[in-house]
Amino acid sequence: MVPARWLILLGFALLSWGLASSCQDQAYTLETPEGIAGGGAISYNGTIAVLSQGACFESPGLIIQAQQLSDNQETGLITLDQLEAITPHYRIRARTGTVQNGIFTAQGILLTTCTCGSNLRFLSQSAQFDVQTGQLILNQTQIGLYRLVFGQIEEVKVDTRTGTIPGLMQNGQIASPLVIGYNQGLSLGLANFPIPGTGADLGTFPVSLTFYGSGLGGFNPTLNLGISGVQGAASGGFSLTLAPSGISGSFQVQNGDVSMSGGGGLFSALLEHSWSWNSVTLTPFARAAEEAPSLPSESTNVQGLSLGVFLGSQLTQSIHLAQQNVQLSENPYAVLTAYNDYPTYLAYGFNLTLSDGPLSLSYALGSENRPSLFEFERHPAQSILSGSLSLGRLHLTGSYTFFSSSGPGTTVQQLFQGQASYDWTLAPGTVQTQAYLDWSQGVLSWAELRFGFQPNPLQCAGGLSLAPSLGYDLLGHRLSRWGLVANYADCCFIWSLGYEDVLVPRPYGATGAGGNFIFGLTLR
Amino acid sequence: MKRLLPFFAFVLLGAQFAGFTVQPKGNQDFNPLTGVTTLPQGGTLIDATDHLILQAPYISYKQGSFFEAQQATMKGPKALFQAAFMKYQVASQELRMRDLVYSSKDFPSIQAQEGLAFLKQGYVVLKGKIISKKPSIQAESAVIDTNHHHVLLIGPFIYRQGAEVARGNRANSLLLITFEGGKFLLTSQVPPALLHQMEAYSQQL
Repeated sequence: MVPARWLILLGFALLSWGLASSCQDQAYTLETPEGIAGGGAISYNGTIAVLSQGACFESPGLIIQAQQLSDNQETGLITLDQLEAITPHYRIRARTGTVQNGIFTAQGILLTTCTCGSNLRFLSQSAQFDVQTGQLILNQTQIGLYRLVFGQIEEVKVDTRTGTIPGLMQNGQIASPLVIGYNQGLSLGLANFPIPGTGADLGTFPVSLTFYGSGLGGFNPTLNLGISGVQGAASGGFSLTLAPSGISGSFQVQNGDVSMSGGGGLFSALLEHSWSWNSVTLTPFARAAEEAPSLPSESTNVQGLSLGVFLGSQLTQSIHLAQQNVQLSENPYAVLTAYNDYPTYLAYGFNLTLSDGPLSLSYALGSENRPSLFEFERHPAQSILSGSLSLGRLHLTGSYTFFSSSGPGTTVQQLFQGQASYDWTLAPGTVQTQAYLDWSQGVLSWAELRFGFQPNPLQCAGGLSLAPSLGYDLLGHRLSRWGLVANYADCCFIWSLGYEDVLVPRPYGATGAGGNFIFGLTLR
Repeated sequence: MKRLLPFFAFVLLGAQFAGFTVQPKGNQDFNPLTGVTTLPQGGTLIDATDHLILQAPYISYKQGSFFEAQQATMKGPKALFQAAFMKYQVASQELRMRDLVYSSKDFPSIQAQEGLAFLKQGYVVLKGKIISKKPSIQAESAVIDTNHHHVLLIGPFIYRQGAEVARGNRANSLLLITFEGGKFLLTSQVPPALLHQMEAYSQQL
């Protein structure tokens, strides 16, 4: 016996195939001022045309499938029954719908991002869709997640072309507000949970709330509370942290060229504005701040007033070199900053990049007269040559740091870092092999081999995949890292759960030693 | 000289022929070997009983067998055929035409590259670049049932109504047009018996 689930999957595959085919390919089509209608049969009764046996309607950004479609030429009204619409990011079902003057109006709506089922859904009494702009307005909407249903939202505005609901969804993706993790205790709660707006913000989610605990069960359990919002060009947020060691708060606001932030005894108030002429950008700024020490030479917070200007340029040109047309991009820059109680800081330099197909070579040269007072304006002194080469599945990158400094005592000299990677494509996924090599001042200081398996993206509901990874320190003859991530797909989401542990970190690398609990939730 | 042609006895869209009179514009050349009479300067064939008139600048005919005409017009009380070439077979009562225009109460003007009229049964089959202005139709194959005021388009078609354009996009697309008192009903869903009957006529051209 064929399991019912497979029959459902097969049915859905056939339905998807049917939906994916263009309305223009139907046996009978009708070109109307609103768009193209099609169907397996057509009939006319006076000025009313009826398409049936699998009717459809198509206009840019929208394909609607319906049991039946009728087009009244006199009134310009197109009526659809039992319809299903497909946009790049959503499936929309409705009891009835009409199209007139470029507006698609529907009653009894179910909108879901899920490829099958509707475990994440918007249920609306009515909706208007602007065929020209792709904007969908859902009225009196409930949001459903599995068996849970959240409130009644008066209006939700959906940009069906970009898959955006302001404050809630970007590119058809909802940033999961769920916080689950483990780092010196359990983290659990909600972060940036979207709240529907009212008045001028109707239809959007301008405010988000944060409420989660971290370090639970550990020696320093902490409760994190926050609120942040966006209105026009202005945005702001406030957060509060409650821990046995005390209560601390922080805030940040921005409105156009002005931004302020503070908390934990630190603050920053910034006024900046950018002007651009062709490829040249001039950004003067004024700033008052107290920053945590960023240089090993500093032990206390730094504070003061700064007044500066940043001048940068981005030039790209095509040059003829060794019988090849090569792209050359040049990015010169200069920063000048004066302080109330610190000598003037001047930094300047450039980046040069030559690229020709799979080969790319860059050189970055920077110079500063002294370390800057603040991190904000810092452009460290450096001289770094780097390059990359792609030969099919083999990718080589390397960089040689003649000199790089972000302050006294943090200088890197004569360091070569190389990386080679090769991907093996197999039926279930890709095996990634990587080699990392560091030569510091002529001595091989790091050699590591890493292997990872990246399974193909899960296509079927109920699918499960595992992504293991392993690293080996060739100089120390020991395991340098390991990790395992399990991915599970249902109709709507891909759930990821895993753990990564870096046992021996690469010197000058981005990741330090330590374990990391991974939790991921993305829309399919 | 007028001469009665008793062999023209057919139904042209409801009219029963008894006989034609011939009004030649010039000579009548009779070939005794073939039995074919040619009117090289053309002339007019008239059936006075049913008001049917064939006019052409070139006509040839053979008693009891056929007539052929070029740049011909055949006019009856309910319809008009104009064709670059016509050939009528007496035995089958079929009229074959090339580059024709057919006009009737239902169709003010419908043109096609080829036509075959079953004069006894009242069917007209059209093939190739069929164009009608009212109703506005383009098609490659059509069967007209003059008795029941049906037209069936077979295969790809274009039908225009107002600012909208309907298309049949398949080789087996259908559009049945039924004329009812100056209006017409259209549907792609054709009763199987009717489709079978009309396809049988279509396949003969």
